[in-house]
Amino acid sequence: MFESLPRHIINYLLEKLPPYARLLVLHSDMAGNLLAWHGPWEFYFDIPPQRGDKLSQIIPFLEGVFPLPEKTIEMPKLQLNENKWVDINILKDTDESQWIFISDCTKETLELESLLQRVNEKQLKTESKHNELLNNPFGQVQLFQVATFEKYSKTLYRLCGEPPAWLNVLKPEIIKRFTAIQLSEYFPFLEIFDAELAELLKTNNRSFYNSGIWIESDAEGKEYFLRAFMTLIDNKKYLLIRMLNEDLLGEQDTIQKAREQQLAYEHMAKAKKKLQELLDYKDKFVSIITHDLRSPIASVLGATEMLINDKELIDQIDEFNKEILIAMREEMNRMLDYNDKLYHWSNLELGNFELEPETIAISELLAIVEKTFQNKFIEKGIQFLSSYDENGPLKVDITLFLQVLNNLVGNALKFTPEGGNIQISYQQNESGRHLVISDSGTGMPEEKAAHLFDRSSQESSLGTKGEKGSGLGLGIVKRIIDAHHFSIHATSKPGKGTQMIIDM
Amino acid sequence: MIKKKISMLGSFAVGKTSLVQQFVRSIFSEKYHTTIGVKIDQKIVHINHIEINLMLWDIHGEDDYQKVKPAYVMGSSGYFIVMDGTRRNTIEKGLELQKMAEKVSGGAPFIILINKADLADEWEITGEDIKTMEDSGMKVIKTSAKTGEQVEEAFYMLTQMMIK
Repeated sequence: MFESLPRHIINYLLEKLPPYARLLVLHSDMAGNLLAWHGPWEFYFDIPPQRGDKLSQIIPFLEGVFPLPEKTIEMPKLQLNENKWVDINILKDTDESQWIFISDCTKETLELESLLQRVNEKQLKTESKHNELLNNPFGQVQLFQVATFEKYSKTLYRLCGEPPAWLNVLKPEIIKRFTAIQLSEYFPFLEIFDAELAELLKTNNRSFYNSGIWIESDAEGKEYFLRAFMTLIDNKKYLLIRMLNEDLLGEQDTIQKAREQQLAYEHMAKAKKKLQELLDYKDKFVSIITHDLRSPIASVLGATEMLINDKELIDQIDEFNKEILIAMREEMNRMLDYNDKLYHWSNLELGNFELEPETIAISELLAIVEKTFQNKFIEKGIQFLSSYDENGPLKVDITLFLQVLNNLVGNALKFTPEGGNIQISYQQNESGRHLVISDSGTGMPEEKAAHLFDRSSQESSLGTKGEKGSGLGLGIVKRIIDAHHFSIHATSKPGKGTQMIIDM
Repeated sequence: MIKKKISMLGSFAVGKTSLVQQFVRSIFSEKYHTTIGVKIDQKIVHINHIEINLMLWDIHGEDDYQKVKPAYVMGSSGYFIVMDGTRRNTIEKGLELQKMAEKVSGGAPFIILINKADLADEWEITGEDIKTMEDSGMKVIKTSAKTGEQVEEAFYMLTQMMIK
């Protein structure tokens, strides 16, 4: 509504008028003919006003008012119909038109009416001209949910003026008594406030003190949040108790949510700790099992090797049985490799290792790798190339770092078809030191390469010659690289090979 | 009839309000409803033929949002320090409040209540934690505001300690 009003009228509303309920703004000429209206007309009138309507016909109270003799006129608490009261403010505008502001004051009027009714009844009964229901130095504060008490002694108080509705619900016995009362008997919380006040009044010159918040419940269990204020007027002490329910709703909601969030966070932290314990238990279990399995697997492998190397035996058995023995050796080798990887992986997950860094020349490191894979390179017809800008030296845990290179070169070998090449190059430039293992293999989608080291285990794919894997290799690589405070990432494209880059 | 004030102190969401509601009205609500300010409930008990009106001051839990005013504990004949068995961090806050209450109440008797005994599987507070508190002379009781376990016993025991 405000957007459609002239700026100086908005300023007038903001500066001069309190925030009235259901504000209706009418604009008329000096003769009182309607020019325009803004706001909820339907709350006040049965039919919509029309441009040119005579305002005194719509609102009889305005008969004879126009043209306005003064700059402003206030007409409070006018009964518009049987159950509706309004406040009317009129402003003569500089351009010789007039603004009429209508607002709803039904609630306050009915409360005031009820108070006056009781005042009058009491006066009729007691024939007294003085009535304590109006005897409140702060005015009609009961309309703002405030109860006023005058302090007589350290703990004695007397109710002043009209009590608010909540006091009648919570402590009707206070209202019935017109003598001074020990208020803390009704509100035990005030014992503390009385004691605090006694101390504060001794040492401070302030004329206003407030208590903490306390809660009272009515017979139905509805909670009332209250706060007491002590103030001094003309050397008299007054205690005001205010009901804060509406004011506190937002605050309570905020604290409730913050605490619920804190509890949820604690719950999550606890779940995380429990999960970590379970993971550690699993890793420990795997570590023990794989450690214990190593000997029997190695024994069976050794026995198979012995049988294959027994020339006399081999000559006596047919080709089918020979193939079975060779397949047994290969499978046992694979099982041993898998078991070893599982053992290393579980120990790395548990953090059961300590780095022992040593310096080693790049050329030496590359020579070891080449020697390890020499036979396999020959078997698959792979060309192995190595290069370095400088010959290091590198400071690494040699055993663990070789495990990294073996895993990466092993993978490259697995996915590079016969006749391809694998290259390890050590580069030292402005961006740092990098060890790059690249191949001319099958490659993989870029998206997969980007997330290759996100998980500790991967689904294993078959190599170009059907080679099988454990899916644990890259998890082991990542753990060892992290332990060295290096980083690793992969780049690849299908059919274009893969590059594994270790940033050192 | 004599009147005695008991203060309920502890971190937030440990179950202070629930313990009072269980003791006074024998009710329990699963829903966590944060307490703003102070709520006072009363219950009359009889101990050794003495009628005692217990004024139970349920004081809001302390955290960064609400601090307990020492004045609230003034005049307490006894107090409970409530901890949540499933949250170990409530020990620290409880012991901090105990020190404050000890000073303000002039050494009034108190009992440590480790609440939520019905969630024993989720407890973080250990037997060793409890022993440490007991070894320093504190009376510790495990309670459940939900099932009522040891709730009435705790209130009666503290009352007895108060009227000795």
